[in-house]
Amino acid sequence: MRRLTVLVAALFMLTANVWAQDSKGIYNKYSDNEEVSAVYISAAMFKLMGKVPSMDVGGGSMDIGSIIKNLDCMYILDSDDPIVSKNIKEDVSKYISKYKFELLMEIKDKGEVVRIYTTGSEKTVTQFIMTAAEADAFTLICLDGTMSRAELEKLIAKATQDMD
Amino acid sequence: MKRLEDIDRLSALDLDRIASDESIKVPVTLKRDIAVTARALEMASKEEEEIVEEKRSATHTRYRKILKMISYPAAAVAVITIGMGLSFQDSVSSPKDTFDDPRMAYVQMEQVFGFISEKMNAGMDIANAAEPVLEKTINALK
Repeated sequence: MRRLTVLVAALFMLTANVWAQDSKGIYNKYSDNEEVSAVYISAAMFKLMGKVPSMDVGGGSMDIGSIIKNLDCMYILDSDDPIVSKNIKEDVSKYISKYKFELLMEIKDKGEVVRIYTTGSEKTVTQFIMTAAEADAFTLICLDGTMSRAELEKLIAKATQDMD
Repeated sequence: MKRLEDIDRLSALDLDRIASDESIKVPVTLKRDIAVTARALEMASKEEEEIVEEKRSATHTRYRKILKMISYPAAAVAVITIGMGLSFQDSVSSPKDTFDDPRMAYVQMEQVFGFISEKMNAGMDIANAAEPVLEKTINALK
């Protein structure tokens, strides 16, 4: 009987761990940590933000209204603490490999590794994740929603054109 | 000796007359026999009660054992279910909005897209810097 209880408890811990690795689970896990700066914007807030005409991105003006209106949430986790950064990075890595994200871009520059991942279908992106990892720091930006892949690519292309 | 049927046939007056007839002697052992019979009846009754109680106790013990067997896993399942529920709720519940003011959220979004753009531009810088080298290599190979 005790063995059964221990087995069930182990299964519970395993399941809880899997849940904790989910996207919002990662945010909930670290957002209250003193070593972490956390930002969360909900779908309701995006609606309140109303129609966003344009934003200055990369030195140019960009219409992100079409992207924003379809967002369910956006959150950021940022930490300069080596241990916390390492833990967030590990959880994000597990999450990304679990849900088979596509690596859109990887930039390695001056000891910083920036990776942009997306997941969804051919036409839509359901999640956009950007990670920026340094030796002792880690930043996670996550956009949840149903974004048009074409719109997102246009947005990225515009950002890169503006720097030319 | 009178039989039961003979006694049944007797009237109340006859019975009263016989009872008051002091010529009939009461057997000496009657009192003792009655006491023995009463004691035997009492013992039989007690034994019967004990058997019933034993049976009840055995059933009770069996139920208690079954209950014990069920109660531990049931308690474990209950604790686990509550734990899983809390854990699940904690992991998937929507976090609280950081900003109350939509304008602040707007500014934050601006910064986020600016940050994404900045990082992507840095990547494009590296790619652009490598472009002449790549072109030179392609030309040399031609």
